[in-house]
Amino acid sequence: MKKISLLFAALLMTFSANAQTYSEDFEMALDTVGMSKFTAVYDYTIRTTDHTGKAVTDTILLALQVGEGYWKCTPYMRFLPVKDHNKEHLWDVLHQEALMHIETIVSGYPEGKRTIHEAIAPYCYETVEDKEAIEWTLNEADIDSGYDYRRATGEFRGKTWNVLYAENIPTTAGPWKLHGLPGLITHAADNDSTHIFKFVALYNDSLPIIHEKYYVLSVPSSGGGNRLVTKQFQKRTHEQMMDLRKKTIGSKVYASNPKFSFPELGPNDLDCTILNDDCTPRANVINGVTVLDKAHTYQPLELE
Amino acid sequence: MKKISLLIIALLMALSASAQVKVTGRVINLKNIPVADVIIKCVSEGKTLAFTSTNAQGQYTLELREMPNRAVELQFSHISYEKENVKLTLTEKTTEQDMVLTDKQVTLKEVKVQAQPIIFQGDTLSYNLASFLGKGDVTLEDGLKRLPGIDVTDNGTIKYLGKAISHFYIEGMDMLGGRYNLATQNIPAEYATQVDVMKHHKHRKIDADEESDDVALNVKLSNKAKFKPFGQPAAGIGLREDDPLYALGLTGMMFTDNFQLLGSAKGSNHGNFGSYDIIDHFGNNDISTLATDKLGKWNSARPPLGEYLYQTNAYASLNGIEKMDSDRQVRMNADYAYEDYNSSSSTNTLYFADGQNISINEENRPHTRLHRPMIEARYENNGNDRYFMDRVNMKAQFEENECPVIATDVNNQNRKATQLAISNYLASTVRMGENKLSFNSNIEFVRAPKVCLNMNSISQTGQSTTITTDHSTSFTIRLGSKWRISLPVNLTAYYNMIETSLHAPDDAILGQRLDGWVVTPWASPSTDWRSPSGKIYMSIGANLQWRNMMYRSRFDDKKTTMSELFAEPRLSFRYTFSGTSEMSFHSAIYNSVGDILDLLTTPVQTNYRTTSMASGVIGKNQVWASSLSYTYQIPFSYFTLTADAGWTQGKRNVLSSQYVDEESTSTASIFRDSHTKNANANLSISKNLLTLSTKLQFTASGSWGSSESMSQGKVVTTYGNSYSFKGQATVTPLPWMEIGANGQYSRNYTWWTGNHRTTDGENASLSLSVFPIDKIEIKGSYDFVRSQITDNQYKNFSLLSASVQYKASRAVWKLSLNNLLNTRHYRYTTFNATDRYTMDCHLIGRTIMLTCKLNLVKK
Repeated sequence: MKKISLLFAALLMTFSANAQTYSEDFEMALDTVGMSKFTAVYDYTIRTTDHTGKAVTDTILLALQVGEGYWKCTPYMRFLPVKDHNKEHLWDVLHQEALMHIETIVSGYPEGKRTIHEAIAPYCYETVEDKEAIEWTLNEADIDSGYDYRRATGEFRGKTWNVLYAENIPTTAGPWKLHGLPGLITHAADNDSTHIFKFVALYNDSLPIIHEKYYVLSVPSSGGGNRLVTKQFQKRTHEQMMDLRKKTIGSKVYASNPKFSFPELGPNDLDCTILNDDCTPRANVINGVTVLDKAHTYQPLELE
Repeated sequence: MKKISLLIIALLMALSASAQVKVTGRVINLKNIPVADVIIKCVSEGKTLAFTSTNAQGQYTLELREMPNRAVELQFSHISYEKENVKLTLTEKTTEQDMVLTDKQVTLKEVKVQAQPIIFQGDTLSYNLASFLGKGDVTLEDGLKRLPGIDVTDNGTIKYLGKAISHFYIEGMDMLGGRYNLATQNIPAEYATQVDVMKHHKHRKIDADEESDDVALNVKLSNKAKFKPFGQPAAGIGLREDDPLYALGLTGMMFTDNFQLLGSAKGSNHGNFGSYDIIDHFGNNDISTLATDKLGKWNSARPPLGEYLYQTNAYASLNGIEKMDSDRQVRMNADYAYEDYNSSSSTNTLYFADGQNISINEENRPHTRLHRPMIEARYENNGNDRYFMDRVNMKAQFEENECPVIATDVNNQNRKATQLAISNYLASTVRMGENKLSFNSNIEFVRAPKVCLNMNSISQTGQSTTITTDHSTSFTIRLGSKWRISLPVNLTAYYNMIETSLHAPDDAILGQRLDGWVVTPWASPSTDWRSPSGKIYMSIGANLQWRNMMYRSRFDDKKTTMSELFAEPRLSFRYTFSGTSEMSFHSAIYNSVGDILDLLTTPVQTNYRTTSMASGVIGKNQVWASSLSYTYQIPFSYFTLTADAGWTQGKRNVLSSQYVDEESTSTASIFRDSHTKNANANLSISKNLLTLSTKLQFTASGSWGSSESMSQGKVVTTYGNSYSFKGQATVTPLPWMEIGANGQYSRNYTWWTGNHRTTDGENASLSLSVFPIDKIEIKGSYDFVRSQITDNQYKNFSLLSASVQYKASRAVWKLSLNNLLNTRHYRYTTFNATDRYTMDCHLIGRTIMLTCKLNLVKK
């Protein structure tokens, strides 16, 4: 196991898959799926409890880049160009991303499937699964906010989803893994409103939709400064991930001790302490995954 | 039987399969390239019968449950292609329909949807202010008044669930301390995007693991208000009772991530325009000296409703804060304020005086002028493991006060007083592993060089000095993750000096000079425990004070000493049912010991007919106070409920005594035990109906109490109970109309040996705002009060005001018409134990004022 310290500013370099210039190593780790036609932004909230049992509502912005037959759902901050990152805010988002257990999903890649990148400290995992159809029941028309919003209800992996979709935005895309309606899904809530995706903005842009083949870490180089190293995602099936989630983040003790299930770190693991400008410790990141001291109770999005 | 069932199911399935209709096909573009993710809908009479989308090869299969009995329409839509429709009459079980799509420009309308009105995250409630704003709202204060659970009182104090906030932050920085009216009055409502209410707030990061009942507010600003200076000049002219009025003000602000600056200067000869902004809600404006406490200024009665003060006031204030890094901040605040106000009222005082019922009629016309300069510098290092703060404050107050009183004769009274205060407060805490060590030091010098009262031919003077030093250190030891023991140790020492001198014609000069020290070492051991789930919190502790007094009277060289140990046990308990409801209980015994003023046995004249003399006995007061409170809130339903009840009982070793005759009033303290008891209960409910832009509030309170006093040499025990109900509603029934209504009813019973008294009061107010267009608000408000003056006499009182406001993009124009009915008197009655005071206050007449406030933002 390598134990290193890294200035917080250096972390910025590794953060965006949408950055304008990359080193060759970095570019090799990226695969362009296609260009987006527009980007929808969602306010995603989870109602859960903290480690003391108090009710909390966590919120994060998600970006949904929509192309022709493929789309990518990722935290909004990861979608923004590096130059737009607010350094202080960035850490909050990284922390929030870990707290809410946010996945990055490229739907329609590979063809007919979806690729999911998921971090369960201390490792990053990649799952490729079928983009199965969701049985939606369309409800009566509902008009809202300048677009024709219509209601639909569907069952997906053990949960009932109540959604609004906009027929004026003709795509079958939606946030997370929700899709398959004759219009963009603009609002989605599961049956007890534990998870809510709420459409907040839409931008007409044409940007590359990028699939990361490897993930890239910034580590201090022997000649000074930092260098980028690539690491492989650990490949798992959907069933294996369900089992892993149950044993780690789904455990009762997870919120009060998120590290309870950590395996012994190996020689290739990178244990990185992120430092503030004045060299005081800011956070702990292992293999590029933010390690939480205290977590919030995991609320699964899919039950089967 | 089982076989028959299976046969029926198989038959039904076969029938169902035979009813299904399929439409298949392939969708390509003009370049013959298959198009993926094309949405194909089958529509009949506006109803969607089925829908699907194409795969990567452009192929689709659409399945209908049954054969449609008329022609259907197939709609092909895609984000990058023109929408295509095809009419089909389906007769076959499988129909093939291909489509070629034509390119189009993506012309989606860019939209931004409003964020969720409230986000609830742990102890922080974040309000999206824009979701609550009304059309006529101009200032941040207007916006805050709309938020569920938040109240803004008449002087601008912000309360959350009835509790005044402890800190007011702008973008996480506390620039203004208690003078947050500067921000709430001068930041436009639309410049604030979010308001965070932080419950159980701990300002010091090192106290993150401590208990706290504090509530703080953080205002987040939009980008319009950040990184560039913006200003608000304001000006107004008007007419009041034939006198011209003016108002002039300029406020400039700048907010960046690390630096904030706010400068403001305002002045007016009407209302509180030039004084409201620098009210300090944490009491730091006030200077309290022994001489001015004893020889206080004269004021007239304040009516509960209506404007009664003729004011000319002005201030200049400069405030800045610099964040050096995430922990360290430097803050500077400097103010100068000038106030000139006068009023008049008539008072009929009916002293019970052991059944003599002595009635005194007076007319007071107080006039006060104040100058208040203040400068403060503060450095703070607010780290996770260390805290250091040093604050230097210098302030002064120069007062001139006149109050002619017309009784049987005209009595002239005037008073001059100067007060100065210099203080340095240092606080530091360091974390040592799991434990914490604190050291605090407060050194304050307060001086009143001369307080001079002239009452007819009588002259009363006084002067005083107080030097306070307060040093404390505390050590906190953790026993496991849930238990903690704290041991604060404190040494307070103060030097007091007061000198009074009474000159009456033909009488010897009556004077006294007292000085001496009070030294109090104290320890306050406590232990607290938090349950593993965090739901239960308990704390038990005690203040142990060893109070040592050494006072000497210089004129007769009489010494008074006291050395006594006081124990003050306390208990706190809190149970958090969930993130939405919480119950807490506090119980404690407090001791207070009198001060040097208790030894002022020489008569001191405080107005033309009142003299007071202390008993010469150091007063001791012991109070046991307990309170139980419950709060319940459902943030997502915008509902809050607070209920609390309290019990207080106290014992003093002296009894307040009053002797009244037609010519004079004498007050004194008698060396005899006296007792007080009080019970009270309050309930407050608030509900916002966002869809109707409506805020509803209801409060109810009740109390019972008893107290003892001496009147004309006889001890009287007075009992009283009272209750009141208050309802408030702000309703927007139509988009162009807003109605505000509130009503209150109160009733008081008082009884003492052989006597009893019942009084009640009702008041109601109604305001109506109409917005003929979004930018114009026409508002009228009407207040009605019916109050009981004497047993059988009631007085009705009405007040009508109106205003027209025009909000342009850069300016807000407002025409105010106050007291349109020209109501000039307000009569009401109050009681103090057995005595009744009936006040008739003179009100300001009809007033018209036109003001304009500009928003200057550098583009």
